[in-house]
Amino acid sequence: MNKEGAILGMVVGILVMLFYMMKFKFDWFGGGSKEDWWFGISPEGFGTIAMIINFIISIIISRFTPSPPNDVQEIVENIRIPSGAGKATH
Amino acid sequence: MSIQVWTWILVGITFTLYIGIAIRSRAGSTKEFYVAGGGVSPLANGLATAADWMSAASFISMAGLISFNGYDGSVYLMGWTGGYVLLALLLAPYLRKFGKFTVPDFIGDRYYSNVARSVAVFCALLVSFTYVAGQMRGVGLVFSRFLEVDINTGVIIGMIIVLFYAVLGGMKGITYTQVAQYCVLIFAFMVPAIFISIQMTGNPIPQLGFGGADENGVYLLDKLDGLHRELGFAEYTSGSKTTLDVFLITAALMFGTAGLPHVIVRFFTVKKVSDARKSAGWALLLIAILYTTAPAISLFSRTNLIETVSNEKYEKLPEWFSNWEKTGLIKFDDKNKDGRVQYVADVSKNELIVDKDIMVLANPEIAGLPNWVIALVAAGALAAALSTAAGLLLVISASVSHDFIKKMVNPNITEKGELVAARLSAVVAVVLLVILVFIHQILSLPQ
Repeated sequence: MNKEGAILGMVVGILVMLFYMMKFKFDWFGGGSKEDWWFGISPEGFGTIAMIINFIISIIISRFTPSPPNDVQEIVENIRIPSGAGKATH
Repeated sequence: MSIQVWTWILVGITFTLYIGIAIRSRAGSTKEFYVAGGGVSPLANGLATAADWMSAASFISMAGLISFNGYDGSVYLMGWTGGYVLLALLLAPYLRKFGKFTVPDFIGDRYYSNVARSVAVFCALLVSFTYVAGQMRGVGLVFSRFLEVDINTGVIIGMIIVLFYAVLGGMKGITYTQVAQYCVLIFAFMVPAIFISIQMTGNPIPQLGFGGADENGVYLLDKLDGLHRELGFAEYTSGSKTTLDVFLITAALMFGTAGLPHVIVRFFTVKKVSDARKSAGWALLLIAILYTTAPAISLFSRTNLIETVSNEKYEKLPEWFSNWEKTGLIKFDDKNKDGRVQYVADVSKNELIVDKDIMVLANPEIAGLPNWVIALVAAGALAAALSTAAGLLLVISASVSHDFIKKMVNPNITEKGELVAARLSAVVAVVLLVILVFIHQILSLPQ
């Protein structure tokens, strides 16, 4: 995943979440009652949907933009390997 | 001795303890200020992490939420405990290995972009602000009810105490005060729970009392369901949310709490990544003690509340009722003028409004426990609120002095200069927070 995907994903995710919160909690953008919730999802639970939207957008955008530099890819590889966990680092 | 005298004594003793610890373990270098020197033992770090994690929301509000929402409230139990597991297993060890202790910092480096970092900082601030406002309401509640000082004065006293030991002690001071605060808060949470569990079910373990029966052999949950049916409320053990909604709310709470920076930073205070995992295990155990007791407290307090006030004569109600009425958190309006409290689901006939957030604090009073237990709960609630506030404050000051001043403004700043900058930014952050709380108070006055 690259920076273009990550940034756009986060921006869209937080905006969708804020929109849903403001619409159904503060009655902005036309408001709405419990019956108007999308698929019966409460504003409290909508963060999860926004997170999924974030991921989908990030993955799609990353497919069409250049991949991250090699050193970053190496960090991602390394961080998953548990070796070195027993060493004192400071 | 009165509740108020007991509260002053217990709050006084615990605050002196926190300040004493902070003076003994004050930070002398930036490393001590940011990560307590990096040599905290896994158990001490587990205790401190647990205190960091359990805020005023967990201590004061959660059991109240479950008490009023019944089965629907269980999302908070699952979400907040689950969020910790997620953080401990999937986030903290990797961030520790990556060498970054905040999520925005990780995102900035992983996505090699300051724009990504800024977006993440914005999201984190949005979350932290909402979170701190909740802590402050908790502190204000305790002060206004038990110490009978103004909520604003209460907030300022609380912030000055936090400021004192966060500025002086840095992470080192905070770590050891949090160890003490965990002990205070868990003792304060468990003592009334054990007392009431014995009173209502004869079982001293609240987790078992939750599934226990009263002296007539009726299970407490069945009894409360019955009371709810009588008064027209939905059954306590039935849920009104759809499965999808419960799943999504739980997931949102889990993912949201897993990213809290003040908890992640705690995993940098131990020597090795394997110690970080050990302290995560300790903390989970210590957190679970409170989280498995909370549903029992909800059940006990709800049953006691209904049995004590429902259909009783207003002037015969115990003293706690009028005490809480003074704070405006219990409201009684005798609609049918019969002098009795009608607490029913039907809004046009209901005469009693109880604020959810007072259930844990009022619980020992409703059950008629001794005054010192009531005062202890107040001291425990303050410990929960202060430990979280101090953790958040330190994250704010570290990101200003280290990420902003040292990395972007003046890379040649001396060790001493950075330490001064870190302490100054903590002071500025507190002043800003107090201003924000006042603005919040002024804005919410018309309600």
